[in-house]
Amino acid sequence: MTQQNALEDLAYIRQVMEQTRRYTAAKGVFFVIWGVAVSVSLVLTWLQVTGGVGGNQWAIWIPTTLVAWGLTLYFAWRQQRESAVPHHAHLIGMNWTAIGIAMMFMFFVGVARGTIGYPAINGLAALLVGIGIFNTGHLSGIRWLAGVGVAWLVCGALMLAWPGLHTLLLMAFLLVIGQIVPGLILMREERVRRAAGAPA
Amino acid sequence: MTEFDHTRLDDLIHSRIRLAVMAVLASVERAEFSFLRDQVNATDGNLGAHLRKLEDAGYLSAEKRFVERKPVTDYRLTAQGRAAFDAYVARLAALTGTK
Repeated sequence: MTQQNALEDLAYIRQVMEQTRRYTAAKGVFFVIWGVAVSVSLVLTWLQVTGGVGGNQWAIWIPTTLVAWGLTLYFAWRQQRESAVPHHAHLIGMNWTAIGIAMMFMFFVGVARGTIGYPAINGLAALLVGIGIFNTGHLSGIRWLAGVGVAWLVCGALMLAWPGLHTLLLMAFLLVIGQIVPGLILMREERVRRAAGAPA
Repeated sequence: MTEFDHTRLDDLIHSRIRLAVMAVLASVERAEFSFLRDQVNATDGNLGAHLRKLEDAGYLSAEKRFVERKPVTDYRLTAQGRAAFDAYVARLAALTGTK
């Protein structure tokens, strides 16, 4: 073996590891599930608060949250059956599980008990989403996604600085452009990889 | 530059297919046989023989399970395998004077 062979081996190892890492990147389906569930709930809540729709807010949030958790558990179970599980998939899953639980407590305990006021809830939620998306982008090596996470953090700070009813609609809009659209892009990239013959 | 001496490299890892298998497994928690085969572009028989060598050396572990009633085998690096791979890459880098 020559030094040139050794250098080629090193380059080969890096290429194989990078290729494997790319094949098994972040899953967009979870972004879409939660983006749709929460944005629909926010719009319905806004209509309710402004008088367009009657009823109780819990009648909106409890069903959408339960459906989203159900779909999340189903796709997480399917992910476990995939042909390879990268190290960062586990970390990303834990990251979102912790954020999801924090959101549940914030909403179903903090808001329900009056500890967290309505003006703060959307700003705080945006900060948590920002942390989740930034971590996902960083761990998966997807720079643009980490950038989306930073944008969420900035928007969270702005919503805390200028709270109000409008943040319900603003948050729903942000979920569409900052979570559902990135989720669809990730899903399309995965479909393209699979169509090109990459393993599932 | 450091004097180049290839005899200081781990012979078991020092085969193109086994090196590729170790590199793939170093990037994932676990991988199925079919995933490894597609990643390293090997035939079933050839890959199976290389995997057995690595398993016999204690570098990787195999676990059988069923997916939709079909048997699949998952492979993962053992702690010994990860240490051997890290040492191999570090030695290769040192021998070639790269980082």
